[in-house]
Amino acid sequence: MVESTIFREPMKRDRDVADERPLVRRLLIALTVGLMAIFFFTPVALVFVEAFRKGAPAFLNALGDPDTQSAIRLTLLVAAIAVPINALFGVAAAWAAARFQFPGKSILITLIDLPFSVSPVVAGLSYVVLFGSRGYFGPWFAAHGIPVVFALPGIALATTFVTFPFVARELIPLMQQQGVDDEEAALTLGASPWRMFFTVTLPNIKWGLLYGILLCNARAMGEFGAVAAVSGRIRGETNTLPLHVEVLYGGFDLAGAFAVASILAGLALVTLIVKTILEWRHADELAISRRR
Amino acid sequence: MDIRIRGLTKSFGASPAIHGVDLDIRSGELLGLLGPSGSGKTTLLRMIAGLEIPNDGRIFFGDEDASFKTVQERRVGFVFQSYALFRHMSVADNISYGLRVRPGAQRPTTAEIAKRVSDLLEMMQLGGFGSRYPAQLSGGQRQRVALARALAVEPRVLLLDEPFGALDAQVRKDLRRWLREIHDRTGHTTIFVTHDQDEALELSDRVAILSKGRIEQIGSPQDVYHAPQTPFVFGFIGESNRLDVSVEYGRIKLSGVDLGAAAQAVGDGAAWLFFRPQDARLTDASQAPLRGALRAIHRTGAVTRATVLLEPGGALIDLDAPADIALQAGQQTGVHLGRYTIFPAGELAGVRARAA
Repeated sequence: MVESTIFREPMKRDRDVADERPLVRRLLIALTVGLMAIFFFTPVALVFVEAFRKGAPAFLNALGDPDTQSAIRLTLLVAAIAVPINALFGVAAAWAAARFQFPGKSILITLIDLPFSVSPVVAGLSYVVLFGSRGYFGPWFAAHGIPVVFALPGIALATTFVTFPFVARELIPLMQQQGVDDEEAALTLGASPWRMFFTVTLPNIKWGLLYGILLCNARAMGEFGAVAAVSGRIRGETNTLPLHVEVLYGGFDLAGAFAVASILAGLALVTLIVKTILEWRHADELAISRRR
Repeated sequence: MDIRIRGLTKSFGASPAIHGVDLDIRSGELLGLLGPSGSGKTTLLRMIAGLEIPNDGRIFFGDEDASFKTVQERRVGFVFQSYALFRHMSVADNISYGLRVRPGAQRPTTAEIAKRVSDLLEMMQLGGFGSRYPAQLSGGQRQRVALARALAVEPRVLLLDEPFGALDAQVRKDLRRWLREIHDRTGHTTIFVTHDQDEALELSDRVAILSKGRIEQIGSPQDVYHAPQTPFVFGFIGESNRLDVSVEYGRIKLSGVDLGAAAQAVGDGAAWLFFRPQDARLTDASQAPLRGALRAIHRTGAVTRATVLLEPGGALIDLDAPADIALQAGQQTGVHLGRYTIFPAGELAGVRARAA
């Protein structure tokens, strides 16, 4: 009896062998939380504090400014152009990368990441070189009455370039992992390719697609560098929200700058919340590449 | 629906997967495509379905040349090894998918579809599972849903790729019998791919054995087991021993030791002698030309096996031994060869016996 109780005692292990000592652990956690507080939480909180420093009426007044309204409209319009284009391109690129073997495939997949490794300003400048008034294609477009640089098309192009990888990167590993069995099954059952795409492929990738679109949208609305190079910053015409913040700040309109910045910060928070919900509910379908 | 395959050839890049295969599948039969991995059996099945495009050759469904028909036009039922159930659809929606995607005029009414789904659920012993999702089913249940989905479109031929590959042993055995019953009841021409010879031999009316993209032999399970036509089939189906011998003037020599006249006509030169463990027995060492030292005795349930290291040639062979065997490991023994088959030595694939 006595012996058996000894063995019934659960094995106690204070820590895994790979764990640090409790003191070290607490120090590391405190350091991380402290740094996060100083460099992340405080600045974001301050954006809202500064935005409302002169009270809600001043805040609403700043947002009601016609130039700000124009910046909001332009930002939404640019996102409404860039995000669907990239969703389409992303699905197409992921389809090609996951379904077909062709020479240069690995180079293509590397190229998809190019916008992440190139500085956005460089991307923007290269569009100026291509489409500017003395650029390669600029005069042709100008002659046909289509302004590109310092106008909506240029801003949309630059934003599309910078946000290109988000959807494709999310979908390529997902579609590679899912394989083609489901789609082949749909075909053997008599479905046309389009029918197969909308009833089988799309439902299989919908959460990954939504996640990619979310990240793409957040970046499309927040992009500064590439847009700054091509926009010309004409107030009320070619200023997006991030550019408008800088213009206001440069003009010492702190309340206005922070009011507009709070919109962007709010957008980031919403993105973060939706992203967390998606990751929590659909972890199995998201970011396979990151879980590997 | 009978299916005729003529000169079917397929290569992936430089490596050929299927070499000019001819195959006739009779209407209503259950044919097993058996072979080791890489033998091309799945490629062959996928070409019949239209999921893979052959480089050359013809496929006929009855009198219709289906070689250039799309996968949709072929109207085959295909069950994937992974089942490939649509995870966002209920079991009932999975089964009815093939009916729902039909163009308007050919699409059954909603009531007819519902009736067909409930009939199939009943046949698959899945009554009451219609509203579940694939993730809520066991492996065996998923496999039955996949089969129901394939049968729902009334396919002209049913194709199954390693249908029991992902299941554990007991479920496999049950499903095997049950698939046979379904086949006998519905009468679909059925082709299934497997690497498991027990499965192929138990389930099939006829078995086609593939190796390196060629069909080595087609026949009933009895035929391929008892009358293998190629060294590959002899070695692949069931247990067997192979001795590298030579034939001189019609007599078999193993490292110079004369084993007697060859039982089958075979040309002089290097040859392979195949026999099954139950077709040889231990004898007195002084009486047999084939002698060796007993290495070990293995008892597995009903069977007692002796492993003998042959003196001429130095090969290790397995043969059945009486359960009350008194010999000890290390002792000398003779081996009497009963039935055997002799093939001219060559490649393990693609060599036909001169006489069987």
